[in-house]
Amino acid sequence: MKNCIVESRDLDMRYGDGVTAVHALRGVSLDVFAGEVLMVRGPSGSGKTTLLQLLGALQRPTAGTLSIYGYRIDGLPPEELRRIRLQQVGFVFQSYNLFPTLKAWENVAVALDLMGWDRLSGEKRARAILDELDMAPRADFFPSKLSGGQRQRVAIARALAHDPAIILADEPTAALDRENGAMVTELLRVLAHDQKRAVVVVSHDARLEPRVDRIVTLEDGRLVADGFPARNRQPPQRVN
Amino acid sequence: MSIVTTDQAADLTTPQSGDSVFARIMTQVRGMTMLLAWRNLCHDPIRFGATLIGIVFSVTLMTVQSSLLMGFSQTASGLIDHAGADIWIASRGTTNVDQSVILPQRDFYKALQVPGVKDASRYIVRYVDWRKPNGGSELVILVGCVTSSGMGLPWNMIQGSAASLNEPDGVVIDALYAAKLGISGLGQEVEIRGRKARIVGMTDGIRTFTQSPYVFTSYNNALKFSDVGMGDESYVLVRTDDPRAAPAVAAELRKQVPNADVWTSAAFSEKTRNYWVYATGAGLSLWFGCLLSAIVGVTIVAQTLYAATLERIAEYATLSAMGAPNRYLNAVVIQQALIGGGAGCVCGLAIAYVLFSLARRGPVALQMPGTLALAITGFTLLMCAAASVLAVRKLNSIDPTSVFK
Repeated sequence: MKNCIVESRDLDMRYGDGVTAVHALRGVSLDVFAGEVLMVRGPSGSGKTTLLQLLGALQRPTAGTLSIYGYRIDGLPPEELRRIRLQQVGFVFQSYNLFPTLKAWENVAVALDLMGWDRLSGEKRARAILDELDMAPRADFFPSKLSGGQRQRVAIARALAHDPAIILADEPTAALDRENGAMVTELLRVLAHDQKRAVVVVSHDARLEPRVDRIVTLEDGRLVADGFPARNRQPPQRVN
Repeated sequence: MSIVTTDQAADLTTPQSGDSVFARIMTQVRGMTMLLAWRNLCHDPIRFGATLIGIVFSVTLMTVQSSLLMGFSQTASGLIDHAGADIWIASRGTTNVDQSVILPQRDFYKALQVPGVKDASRYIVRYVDWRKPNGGSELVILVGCVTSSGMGLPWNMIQGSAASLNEPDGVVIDALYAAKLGISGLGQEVEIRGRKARIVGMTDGIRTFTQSPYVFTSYNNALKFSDVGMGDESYVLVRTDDPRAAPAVAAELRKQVPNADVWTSAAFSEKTRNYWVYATGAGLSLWFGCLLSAIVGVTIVAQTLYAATLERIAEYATLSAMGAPNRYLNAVVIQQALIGGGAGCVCGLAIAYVLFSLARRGPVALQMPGTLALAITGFTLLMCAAASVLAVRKLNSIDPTSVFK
């Protein structure tokens, strides 16, 4: 039986009031399971980023229900949302968002510091994770001395450090060449398949499609397709 | 691939990071916030330098102004604090020890009759004209004391002794003012109010607030050198049987000499200090200078910290998205301010100390006790923490969703 990490029903997200209101998401229902890589695609302004923000507990929906790892977050105050993010969510950003003044291992250890780890244990775990990602020789490098692929691996290590149930990646391969893009994609697959995490990737990168487990498509804030990539011979199906 | 678990991580050895000693200490102090604060500062050395200069400027100015204030205060009441008397009797309306009005001799005798009075002594403090040996003149403050009473004598004698004041025409000056008074050594003769005087001793470090040097002599000599009539005095110095009972004895003396002011030594000392330091405006201007220095420091720290925070707002938003509470973000900024404040304090106090060393042999008294250095350090750190308020407010309004915009 699949372990549902994210369960959402009829998610609505509206910004502003009156005639200037923007309806970013309309009635989106989506489940994300442990062990799968889910790709979210759609044109600009389709609501991908808003969906990612909701799944990452960065904000609450204006309507609908949303559970992350069993926690209903649609009614939680900001402080509780922060706790959910801290414990259950790992973020990977398009532009890495590493701290330029910290070395690679220190960037990873920050996530552990937030969890209350002592410095020595944090350093050990940070270095161990970087080692697993073949980044041990670069652990003491500052981000400015790393290539794009290496920076993204550090960012993934940071997202993994506190052992989150869900990893949200925003255009993780957009700034990478083919080789590094493939490496990062494979890494995300391993995190989902081997470690049974839920991995949600928002991307325009068509190279990713054959390598993910499921693809959902958003248009004008609506979920218009939810299905499997071409390699699985089950093309995305219209849901509305 | 298998990402290691927490337990596995604990078994791994920690490779050497090749970090600087200071950075390693920083990481030990408090997790990553101190390290982030330190690295953020070092990452922009020009901005850090500008902040440091502002804090150093502020600390140095505050320290010098405060030291001057303390020095002025101590100098102003030096005669009283070193006189060894418990009670001072002065003419009605006397505002400070240096500017006295002549007191009738009957007050001296009345004082002697009051129960609790152990001893009383006449004391003369008058401005007189001093003729230098090689020409020219200076206004000095003549201090005439009865040496046998042991009250009101010069202190910190480095040449001669208090007993030498009794030599005919003998006077004692302070070495700091020797050049100003045209004196090169003992035995030299000068004129005070047209009467011959001879240098019989020197003190060290007896400064005056007014910059008119004190010239000590015996009561009898002072009668010759001043306009005070035989038996009269500027003050009557009183020593009590029990110094703890001085306020009660002073109250009794007020009844016996109703036309004079009677002060305990501490009260007269405070009155004198307040007069010179505050009533003249000198102290207020120093306080104002201190305040301006603090404002300059706060402004510089606040401005640079706010700009640095804005520059790194995306990094703080990332931390917030990762689940960092506001206090974590605030800790980074406040520690940046405190590191700057601490470093600025060390440099500022060091510069101030050098200035004090240079001024030690000058006529201006600078006092820098350890408590002042501690107070300045504490105030500076507080000032820097306060200066981070703008940056903290910015951080507290940070939107974690901005990381995906």
